Amino acid sequence: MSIRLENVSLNMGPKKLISKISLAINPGEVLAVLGPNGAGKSSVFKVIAGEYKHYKGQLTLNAKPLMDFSANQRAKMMGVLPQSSQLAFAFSVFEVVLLGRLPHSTGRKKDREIAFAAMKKADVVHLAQALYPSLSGGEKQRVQLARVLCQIWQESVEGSRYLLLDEPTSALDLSHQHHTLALARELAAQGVGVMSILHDLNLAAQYADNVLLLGQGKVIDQGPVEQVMTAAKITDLYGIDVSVTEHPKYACPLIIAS
Amino acid sequence: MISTVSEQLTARELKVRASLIVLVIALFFSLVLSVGVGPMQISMADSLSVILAHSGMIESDASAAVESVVESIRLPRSILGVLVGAVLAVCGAAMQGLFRNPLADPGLIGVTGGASLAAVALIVLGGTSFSFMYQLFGPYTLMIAAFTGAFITTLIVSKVATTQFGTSVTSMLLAGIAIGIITGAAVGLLTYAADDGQLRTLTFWSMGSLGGATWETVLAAGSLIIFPLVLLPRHAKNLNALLLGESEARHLGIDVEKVKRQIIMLTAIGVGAAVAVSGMIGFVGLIVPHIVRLVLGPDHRYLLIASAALGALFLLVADMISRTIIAPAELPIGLITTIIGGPFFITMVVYRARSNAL
Repeated sequence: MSIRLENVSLNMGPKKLISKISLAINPGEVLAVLGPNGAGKSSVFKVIAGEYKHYKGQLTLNAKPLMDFSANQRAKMMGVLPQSSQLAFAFSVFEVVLLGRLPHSTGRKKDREIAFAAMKKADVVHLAQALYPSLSGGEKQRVQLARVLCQIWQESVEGSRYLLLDEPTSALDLSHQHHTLALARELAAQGVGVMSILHDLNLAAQYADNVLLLGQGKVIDQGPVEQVMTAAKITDLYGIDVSVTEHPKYACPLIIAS
Repeated sequence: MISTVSEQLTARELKVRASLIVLVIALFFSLVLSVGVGPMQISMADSLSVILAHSGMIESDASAAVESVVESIRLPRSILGVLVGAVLAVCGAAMQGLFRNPLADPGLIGVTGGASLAAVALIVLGGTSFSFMYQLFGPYTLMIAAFTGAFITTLIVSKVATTQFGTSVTSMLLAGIAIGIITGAAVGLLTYAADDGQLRTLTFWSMGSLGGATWETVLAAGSLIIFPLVLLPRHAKNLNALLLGESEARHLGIDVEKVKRQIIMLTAIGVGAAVAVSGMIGFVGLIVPHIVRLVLGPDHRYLLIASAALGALFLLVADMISRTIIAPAELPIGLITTIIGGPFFITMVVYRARSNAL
């Protein structure tokens, strides 16, 4: 049970976006995908999320090809948080979060309970009645997170659940950045496989189990945090000098640009 | 805490239900009223008794003259108004959901223009180039032509506006405007080629009217209009998800391509049938869903049904105005909806530009 990519390549016209990517998202683990702009992070993300169908290579979800599942089956197993959402209509926050229950048929009462619990988790309960378009960028991001949590809240009969996050912290303040990734850890502890694109290396170091480094559409390195996040590899990939020391409080690397 | 949040949502649903009941009552009331309005004033009691008699419920006690006016002229016209108003409003609401923009109206994005061009072409060239169509489709010919025109323009507009990055609303509106101008020019060319009798029909087209209503047109149009009226509300949840964005809808387990195809098809059928029997009646699909959204919110589960009811009501009232304002002559109903809709649209644009939502 996992999401597996084996030698997955994707071209857009003549342009190679990613080539021969192999990775695994395992239930119970948090995988951080790192890399400079244009490294192919979003392309990998979108292939896994099922948005591009013309990739080459193997992509399996719980040991079956991803495309063998119906859209609804996939939705029950996989929650996808986009970078930003363009919703411009005046839904209330509670209504937006409830949209996460669309793939399920658990009944109105249960749906509302789950939506409310998901709002609590994402710290947006106080916004429940607010209209979505009136929120700030960070609040919108948290509401979308609540919607996606609401979608994969319960164990699915289809198989293990997965959560894909595309820069979930890009619009968040410091405390909510940590709150969101702590939530990802909490879900992993419940058996959800989490993959997150991140730009903040220290957030990745602190919260991820495994790291995937992408550069120019290829896997530069992947493995446990301590093994992959070394000064040499990061300096090489991002083209900026960094020092890596030990975090003063946790046993994880701390990356400082020098 | 959850109970408060949940109760507020339930309260909203009650409000929706109450609004729908009020709308349906108002609709029935104006149907009866509209049947009585005209050169021959008929009391509401008489109108009601003829309508009920027509549906086979009671014996009518109105005079024979009243009965024949209501039965053969007024009632089909009012029912056609209900059908056309309802379908235009529902199609408008569905398109706005599909394109994620409240400014998408079948008229504004060229769909009505395409339907109208096809219909005008058939009227002018039907005796010659397209005569085979009449042999093929009989009384449905005009509607099939209008539907084809509507369908093709919808496809062009959505193709032009959709790139790999999603649907661009600006491209959509611009493409719609261009198509509107092109179809307008083509209609102008055909007008040039038309004879006197055809010219009268064409005037009817360009300004919109329910005046040609007979039971045959009601039946023919109704048999097509019923599809979008019944099937579009079934897409309510899909449309709600689509408001989040196409990728998001896909991640929520919706077969986006299939849903889009069906909605485009249904709106083309609805707009095509409406244009075929009543010409260009603009802005109904813009104003009505907008008002419903202001009162009931954007949830398509309520929006589509309430828009249908309010659209029907709106067109009935507009038709009553069109018949009475310069009586005994008649003002085309399309002019009335445009006179109301134009300024309304500008207000919307100004408001949205100010709040940076355009």
